[in-house]
Amino acid sequence: MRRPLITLLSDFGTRDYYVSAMKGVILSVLPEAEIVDITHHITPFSILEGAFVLWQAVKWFPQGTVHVAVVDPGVGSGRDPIVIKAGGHYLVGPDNGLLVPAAERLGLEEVRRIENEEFTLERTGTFDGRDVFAPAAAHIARGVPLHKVGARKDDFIRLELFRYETSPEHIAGHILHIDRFGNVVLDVPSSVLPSDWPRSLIVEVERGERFKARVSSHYEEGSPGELLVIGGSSGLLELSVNRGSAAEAIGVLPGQGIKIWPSAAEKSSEI
Amino acid sequence: MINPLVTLTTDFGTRDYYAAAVRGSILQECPNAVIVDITHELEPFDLRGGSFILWQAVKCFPRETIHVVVVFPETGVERVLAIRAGGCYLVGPDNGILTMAAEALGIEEVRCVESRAHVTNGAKTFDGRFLIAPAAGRLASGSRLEELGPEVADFKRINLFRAVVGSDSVRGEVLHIDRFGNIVTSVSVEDLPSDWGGDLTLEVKRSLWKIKRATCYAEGSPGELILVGGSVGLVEISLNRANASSLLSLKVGDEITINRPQSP
Repeated sequence: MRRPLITLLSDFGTRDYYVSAMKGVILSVLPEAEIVDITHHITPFSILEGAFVLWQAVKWFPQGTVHVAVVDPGVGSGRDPIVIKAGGHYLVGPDNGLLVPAAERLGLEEVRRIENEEFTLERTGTFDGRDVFAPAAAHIARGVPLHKVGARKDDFIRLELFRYETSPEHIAGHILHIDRFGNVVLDVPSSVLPSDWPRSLIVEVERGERFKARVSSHYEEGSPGELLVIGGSSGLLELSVNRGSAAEAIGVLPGQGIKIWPSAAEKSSEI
Repeated sequence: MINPLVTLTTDFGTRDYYAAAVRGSILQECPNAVIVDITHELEPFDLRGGSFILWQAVKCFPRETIHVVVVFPETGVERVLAIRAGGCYLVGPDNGILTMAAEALGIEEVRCVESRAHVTNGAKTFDGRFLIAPAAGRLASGSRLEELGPEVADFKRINLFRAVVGSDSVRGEVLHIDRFGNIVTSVSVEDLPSDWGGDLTLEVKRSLWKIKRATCYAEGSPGELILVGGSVGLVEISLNRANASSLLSLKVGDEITINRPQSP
């Protein structure tokens, strides 16, 4: 029989005791739990980045997995702790939008407030990860039915990751994430890139500077320093530089806007 | 059957093979051990930081957990202790790093680990691998504490919880700065009189700051310093969604004073 699987995602870093506190609490409730770290290196307080990484990761886990996510600047204030059932998975964390894109990807079924103190520790007000989310997740992984955890909540906070716009002339998107390799992940599905556009494109960053780029199928394809537009492993467009950092090459940060359109030079050469 | 739970706290970092070697040694003695990292990112040789993190973390783990600590300014010289405390075990060097956590759990028995059966080449540069991990692994696989070595009464201690409580002020020091820039002080929540009201002053490095008492980080307005009772019962100096330690340029060990408001 498979051990109950619990994943953790947070902005806690790995230098403090916070992550281990959550693991200790989970294993106190459910000693046979198998705990997998998604990451603890989300930029502090960045709900958007946390929501995106969670959205990327959840689909690789089996049904029945309980995902605990904590990027929670509002801890201790009025915001509710929630659990979402989605596609046979459970997501546990704060009601600040963090869990919602992942839940919608899995197929959101129901949202409940975590209320029953039987399944939480005494709250200190500054660390719900340890006091509320970890114990509630362990009890849910142990098989406690959701209706015992708390009442349904339909007015939860939503968060939209994909806010790109397209026109026949251009694609306007945003930078969701910059990975360890400096690949710049956009909020634009790869399928949005028109197949009849030329391989040479222009990429414009938020401050107005423009760069030449080329559509490519993999990272290795570019000559050194060449900016590539690639359909990445998450099904989203990425800007990349072969064995270099695209984020450094074009000087961008998460949250900024990016515009892409066909290179006129290429068009004229085709005529 | 429940798998034995072992935690690791070290200054090894995560780029070298050291932490993996300790894990491997534990699993060699006890293949079904579940190993949880508390952290491997202590500042090298930082006994105070290690003591503090361990003290915070141990309370969250169940009885019978074995906490392994490797921070060895003088590896090969310091003795290795195995302590039973509050139904848990702590295994690590006799340099004080274990004692705050052990005392919080309730010390029952302290032994000096003798067995060097696993030393293969006589090297004394890596006692974590050759001495501490095998001892922890043996405990995890069911060995009794007395099998590891003789009982000892004298061992080094560290105590970080220093606060001077006066009628108009409470003085303490910076114990820890977390990833969010929250400044954890050595002043416990009980040290701060509850009848002092909400608006206090904070004195650091001869400058005075207005500071407000709050129950959670989100209660602070932007740029407003707040005093929060943190998750382990110590007073923290924080800024809502910003980094208090950068604003105040404080580092671990610096003195802080919290003053009661002047009566009008």
